[in-house]
Amino acid sequence: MPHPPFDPSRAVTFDLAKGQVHLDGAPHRVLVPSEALAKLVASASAETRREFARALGEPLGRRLASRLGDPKTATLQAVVEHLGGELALLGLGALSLERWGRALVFVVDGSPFGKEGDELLAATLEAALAEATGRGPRCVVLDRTEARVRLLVVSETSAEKVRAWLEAGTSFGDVLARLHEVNGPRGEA
Amino acid sequence: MSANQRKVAILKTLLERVQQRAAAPRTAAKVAAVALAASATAEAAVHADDEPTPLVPSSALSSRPSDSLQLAEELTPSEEIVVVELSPTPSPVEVDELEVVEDELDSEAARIEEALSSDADDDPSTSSERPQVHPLEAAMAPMELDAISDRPTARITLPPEADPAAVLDELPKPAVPVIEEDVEPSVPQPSAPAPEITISSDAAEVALIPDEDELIELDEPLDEEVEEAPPASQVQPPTFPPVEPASEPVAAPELPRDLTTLQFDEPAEPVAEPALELEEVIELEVEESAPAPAVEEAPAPVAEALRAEEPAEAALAEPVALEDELEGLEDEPVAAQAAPVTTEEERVPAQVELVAIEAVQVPTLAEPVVAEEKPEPTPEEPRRLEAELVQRPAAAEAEVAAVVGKVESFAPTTFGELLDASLEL
Repeated sequence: MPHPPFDPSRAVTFDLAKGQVHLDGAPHRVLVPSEALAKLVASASAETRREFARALGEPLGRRLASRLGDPKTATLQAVVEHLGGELALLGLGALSLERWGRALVFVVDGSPFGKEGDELLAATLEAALAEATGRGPRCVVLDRTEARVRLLVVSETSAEKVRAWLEAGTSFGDVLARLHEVNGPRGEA
Repeated sequence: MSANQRKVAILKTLLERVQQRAAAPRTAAKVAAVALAASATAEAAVHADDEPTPLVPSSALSSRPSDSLQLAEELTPSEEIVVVELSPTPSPVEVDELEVVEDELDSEAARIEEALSSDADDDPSTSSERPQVHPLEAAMAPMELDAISDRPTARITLPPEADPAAVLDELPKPAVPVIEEDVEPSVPQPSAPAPEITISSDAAEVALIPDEDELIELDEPLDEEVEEAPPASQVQPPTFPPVEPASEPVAAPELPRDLTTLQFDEPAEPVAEPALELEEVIELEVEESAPAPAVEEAPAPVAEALRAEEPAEAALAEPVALEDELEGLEDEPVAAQAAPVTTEEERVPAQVELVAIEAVQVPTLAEPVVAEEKPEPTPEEPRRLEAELVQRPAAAEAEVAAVVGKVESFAPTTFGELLDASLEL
């Protein structure tokens, strides 16, 4: 099913007379320095950070669903295009997708928050996917290389295992292989 | 005080009262001021060659009652007008003239006595305000009983060179004709309004002229302007303050405040200000509509192309109609102001600007996003996996290669399939 391309024209409106920024008709957006926001998020509690991430990701998922209808039926390219477009409108970086076997991995390049903001970025994508698909995925920071971060999309149970493996020093390739070993070759035709 | 002196004093007092009654409803101060203006005019005419006449606004008599009162106290009309010299040997002609004068005085005295009898309750305090001896009194001979009329008569002897007619003219006359004669000549007499305006506007030229002859030449047209000047009631009223700042650039910043004050203080006169705004609008409209005829005169293809668009056609048609109706629409400011607005909105340049803005915004916003999303297509992922597997350490590389080899047959077509598979891991 073909999907319309992502059209960001007039998505962001600067109302200079009222001094307001609108995003897709939603008022009261604020342009804030990323460093100041990263410090503010870092000083907040874990729960506060997740709430803040949901506040960012849930509107993003709603807009994604409004554009694609049911994102689960959309192609990978369409989802990447629209989800990446919405993420870019927030200034959170460039999104791409990798498939490792049966594993879904999102790749974000140029995140403004850097390494300290990876958890915030993962939580934001979590909220967006949950709002758009109705599922409850978990995004785990799988790898970090300079300006690129990989976020593995798994279940909550698998997420705990992956975090434990990564904290133990396992490389992200080993983590992916272990995931496929534990759950068996389901994709085998 | 002799009987003659008392009689003269009484006569003067009675004359003043009669003049006051005749000038009603004007106040006594105004009457005195008018008489003073007449005397000042005569004095100025006599001494015009000696010294310049002081510039006194002609409306000062009505607009500045306090000033006129002060001047009236300083000068007495009778003192300036009547100049009588004693002469021991009057001629027969002069004696006849004097008898005529005496008769007039007698008749005046009789009327005054009648007026006094009817106005017995009036305040006679004014008779004590001038204790000085009047020149007429000095010129008068002692009162004698006339043999013919059998009435007391005072004889005045004039010098041989004196003109009896002039003396008669200078004698106090009834108040009403004096006022009417003085009000009209009082307009050009001070020569205040027109010279002030003319000199202030040409102040630089006057300063550059060194000779008095040229100054006199300048004064001549000023006199003409004075003669052609409108009556004082039209020149002097508060319409002058706006004129003065125009000649003095320093006072120009005060204009907006004056205008604002006028707008707040005189809301009951909106007729004049809208008329001015209408004139401004008309001028702007005419200026702006000037290019329209030029468009009509353009070559045929251009003119047809412009006419094909409705806004351009309206912009071309309206100025012509407006120019024809401008003069007749001054009484309807609302309609006249509405026309220029529609003319400005329907101009072609406004549409051109809108098109240009849209043409700039769309490509700049759309292209970067599309360029960012295209480099990451999903079909390239298997190759990335292979490339990344090459970079992995040897131990991990074998494991991942084995896993990938087992799921090579998995090829999701939708995002939902991949999401479900990843969540099942």
